Amino acid sequence: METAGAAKGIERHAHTAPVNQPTDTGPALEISGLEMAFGDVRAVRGLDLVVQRGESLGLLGPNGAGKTTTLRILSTLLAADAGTARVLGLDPVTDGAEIRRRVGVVPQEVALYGGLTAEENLAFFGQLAGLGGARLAERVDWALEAAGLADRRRARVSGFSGGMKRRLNLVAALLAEPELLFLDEPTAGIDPQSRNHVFESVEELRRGGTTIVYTTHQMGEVERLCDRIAVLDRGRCIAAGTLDELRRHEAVAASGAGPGLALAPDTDLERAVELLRASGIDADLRGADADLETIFLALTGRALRDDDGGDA
Amino acid sequence: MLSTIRALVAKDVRLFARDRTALFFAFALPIVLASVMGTALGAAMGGGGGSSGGVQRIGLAVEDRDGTDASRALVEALEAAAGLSVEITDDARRRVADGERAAALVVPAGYGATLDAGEQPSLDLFRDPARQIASQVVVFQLAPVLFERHGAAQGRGMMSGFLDALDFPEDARAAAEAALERSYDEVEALAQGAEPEADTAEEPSDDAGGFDVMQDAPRLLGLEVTDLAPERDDGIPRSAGASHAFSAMAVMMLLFNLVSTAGTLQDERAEGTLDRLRLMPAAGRTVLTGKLIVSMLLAGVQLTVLFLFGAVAFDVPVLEHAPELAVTSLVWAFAASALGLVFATACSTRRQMESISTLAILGMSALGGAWFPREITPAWFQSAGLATPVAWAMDAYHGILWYGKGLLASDATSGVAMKLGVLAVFGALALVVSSALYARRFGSR
Repeated sequence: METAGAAKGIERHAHTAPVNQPTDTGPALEISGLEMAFGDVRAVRGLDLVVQRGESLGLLGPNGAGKTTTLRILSTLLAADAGTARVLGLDPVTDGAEIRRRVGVVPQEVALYGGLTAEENLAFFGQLAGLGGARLAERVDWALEAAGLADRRRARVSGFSGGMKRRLNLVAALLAEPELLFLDEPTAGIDPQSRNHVFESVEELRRGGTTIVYTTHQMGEVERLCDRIAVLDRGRCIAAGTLDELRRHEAVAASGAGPGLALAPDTDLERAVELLRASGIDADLRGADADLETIFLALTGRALRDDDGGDA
Repeated sequence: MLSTIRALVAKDVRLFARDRTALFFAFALPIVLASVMGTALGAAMGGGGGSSGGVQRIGLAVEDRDGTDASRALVEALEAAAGLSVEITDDARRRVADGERAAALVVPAGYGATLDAGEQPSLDLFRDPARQIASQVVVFQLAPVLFERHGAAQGRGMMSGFLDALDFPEDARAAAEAALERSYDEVEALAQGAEPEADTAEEPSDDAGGFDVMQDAPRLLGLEVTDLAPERDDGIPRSAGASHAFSAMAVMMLLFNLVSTAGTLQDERAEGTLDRLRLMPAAGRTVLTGKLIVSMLLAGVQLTVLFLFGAVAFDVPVLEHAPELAVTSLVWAFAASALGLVFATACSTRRQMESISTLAILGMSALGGAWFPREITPAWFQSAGLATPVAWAMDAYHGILWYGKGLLASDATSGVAMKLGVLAVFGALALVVSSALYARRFGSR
């Protein structure tokens, strides 16, 4: 029943989801030299990143890489120690209220009130987002349909399955039709059907022009949902590009050129290898078809990150 | 089997030893509370009060209407009494009716002349029936002073009073008075060094019933006692016990409940919903305002139910003081709600908050008089009590329900407005502190 409801919701979503046209020119996100420390722990160290409007960026990284901290800074929950960030052209420190009006966040935890019904949760968050009257009712109806929970609207969230909660968690962030959406591991711990439902929702948002920043440990999700990928490790961005660019980068690096080598997307790799060899570097193109997980492990290493105790 | 049991026991012991909240409630809280109660009640119940030691001085209002050397000497003797804190006033009765003193002694005109005539003088003692312990302590403290000042007249007067207390049969009273007179002469002679005569007296009868030390002792001392029990408008005497109990519950339990309500902030923090609220354009510190308002609303409902039950089941005079109770409850709900927010914003987790707030609420309740009357506690304990909002709230509620006080002073009593003002200041300060703590923990969001 959940799956059927979810499918119905997606259809409705496809018809009614807003198409967010950028209201400004310029990147949706620009981060330069971002720094954030918690005591002695430097969670973010000089992070640089640019996300274009309408783009879908996958933020990959092991535990403690700084993904969640970065999202918290960009969504105005934390103030960075140093560096600059522009979110939809706005400064998170001085333009926080405007950013919160235009940005949606799907938090890592299921941030819903278990004692309230699905409808009450959505109405509450919708009101806080500035919706009211008929518009609020319309958006709540849409969200319930989109989450496949229209027939459970008056059921308390505490009785929902993990997948139902995750779906509701997602649509609660879409009530105010954000231009930019941060999704922090939105599919953690849910069943394949609900995960697929979330994927379809995100894909629909991409088609609608919403800029998306998506953090996850699941490589397949990034491959499916994201235009570009940024790999974070120990607070820094150690690689960024399309999956193909990362493959090329890793292929050359793996062959001996080293991780510091950056290659443009249109680089003639055979020619690059020739040039590298001429420079005395033992480069080749073996592994240029590696999957993202292989690339990720090559970039971040195979050492366990248990000491990080979770994502910073 | 044994190894399984051993493993189970070891597991639970380890878990208990690592649970700081459980350790706190098991060991620290009982020790702290026992120390507070021991300190507070030690002086009143005898044996000293821990580190405070000594006997608590009980406040006594004294009014001298005689103005003779004898009355002035009595007042000076009272002031010198170790267990009394004497307040000289020209309106002693009102001080008791107002709840400011547990008892008042009026030295009537003619006191000195009566004493000069060798008769036992009579003094007026006004007591607050709601403060029986303190009133009894006053009588015990008065006894040595009156014995000292009234001398022989006191002794003979006591004999007569003793017969009264025993309801001595009228037909045998003259013989009894003569026997007591002879006894008194013998005691006086002994005091002057005479040899005692052979004891021919019979064993005292076990049937000396009817003598109530608390009721009859003042009479033996020549004290005309008046209990200033307030009456309701319909003439029904008020119940001091119910008044105190409902005041105490209104104060203490409200604190517990409001801290629990404010603790939802900790739940929201743990569940992630607080971050979601902080991400909303309209949220920010309005989260705290919302908590404050909902706490006050819940407090209003809780107090209404509590007082209505008191009115129905215990004749607590709620309806006749509804406006005063409503204003007091509003101010107390504000102060208590703001205090709850301080706990909620100062602590990192709900368990930490529950430990700290439980200790603080129980401590404030003891200091503030919700457990036992403050006047029987050491002076420093009473002063510390005034640093808690509980003392002011207790005084305000009890003042209304027992003494029939209004918000403003009347001919009969003082008002509770000043106490409510202090509570409002407590609340405002708590709100500022909680707001600062919230900002420190969460920034401007």
